[in-house]
Amino acid sequence: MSNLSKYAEEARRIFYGGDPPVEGGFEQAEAEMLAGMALSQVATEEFWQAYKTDGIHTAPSQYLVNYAVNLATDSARNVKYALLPSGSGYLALPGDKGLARVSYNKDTLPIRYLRNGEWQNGQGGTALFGVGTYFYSIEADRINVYPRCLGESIPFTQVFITLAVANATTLQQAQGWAVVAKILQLYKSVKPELDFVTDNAPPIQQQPS
Amino acid sequence: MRYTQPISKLVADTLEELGLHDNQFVLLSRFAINFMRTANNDVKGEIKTERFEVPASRVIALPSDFIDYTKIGVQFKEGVKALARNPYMAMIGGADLPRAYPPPPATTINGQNASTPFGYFYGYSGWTNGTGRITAFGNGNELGKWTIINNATTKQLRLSSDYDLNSNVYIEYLSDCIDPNTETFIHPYMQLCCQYWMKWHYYLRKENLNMAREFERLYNDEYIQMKYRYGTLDIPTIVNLVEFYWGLPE
Repeated sequence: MSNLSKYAEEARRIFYGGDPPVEGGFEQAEAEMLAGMALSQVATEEFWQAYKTDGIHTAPSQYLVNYAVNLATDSARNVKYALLPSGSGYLALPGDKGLARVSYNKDTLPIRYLRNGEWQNGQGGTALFGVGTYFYSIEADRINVYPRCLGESIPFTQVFITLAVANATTLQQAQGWAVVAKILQLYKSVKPELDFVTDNAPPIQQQPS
Repeated sequence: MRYTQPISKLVADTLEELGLHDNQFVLLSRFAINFMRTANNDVKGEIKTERFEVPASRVIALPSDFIDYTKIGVQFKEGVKALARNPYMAMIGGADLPRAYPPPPATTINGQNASTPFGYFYGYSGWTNGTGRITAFGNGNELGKWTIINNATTKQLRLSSDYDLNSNVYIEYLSDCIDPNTETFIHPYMQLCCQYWMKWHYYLRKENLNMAREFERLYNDEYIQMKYRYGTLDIPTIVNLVEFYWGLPE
């Protein structure tokens, strides 16, 4: 059982004020799904907080995970690409800042980031040629890798990507309470609050005798 | 620690100092490269020489960094050597301002009507398009006409049919100088200046105008001083710096 499951269970216990009922509406699977979303939100808020207070533009490094990904070829466009593991809690921060780094050659040589379309615009005569050897840009769930010029080829078949990922692995205890609070906030925002206290029920209208 | 470092290291330092994400590397590098181009063009033009063989079409594609010719020389098959020189080509001035800003030509030159005012801009002056002729040494006989087409899409030297195929054509031209890249070394003297340039442009374009103004208020005096200190150096120091950056003139 991962940390995330424990926090989900704790949120349910708080919601029900003790052991969750067997037939309860707030199920464990639902709480775990909300926990994943809550953690992403907490991480994104941390990012913005650091941006506002310290002017830091990078995701908190506790969320960073390095993957080695094989490149595939899109033969129609003659572009090599790596799949962005977006299903596993990838933090899609603004400005593609959730993707901290892409490199090759055993994670030593950098591949430089370009905004999508910048590579096509930047051919010939711009400063692009001198900036790097290989470039990447993000397109939906893909990381497209480009050479400097149209005719050049990409000699490597594997890239190393460092992603900001918010999942059970990168969750620290320090985020626990924030995650539980966020789960409850999310759940309560969509579920009407149940009222089991009979004293608060509106009086049943008396039948005329 | 190395004080002499390539632009990429300077950009990496600036990224760290501003707490930026790696994906701003290209943007800051562009600022730095533009700075180096500007600084370079302020100080020195570069003359290059290339040899071409006359192809069957008698159209020679000029190099991409071609701005203007200074000399065009032809070695005909019979061994005749001939030359056309661009008298209105200005070397970049610095101290030599009369040559950097020559008076506009008053009359017709080489068959081209000079009544239309030419675009004079800082540093370069003269013909960037036009027709000329090669004249033989000694008697000055005309050996053939040529035309340079130099615009955004075409850079060509077109030769008339007087020229022998496969003969040698030498073009001495003003290049748009060094093409700096992120591995270009930047002199310690210019590093802080380059960094300020990068930061100012970053603040202006990525943050907001107020931050750029604030940065300017804090650092502009120093920046201007650094920029113009370059121009107030004594001649041997300038020569040393220029040679350090761009090597000995050809």
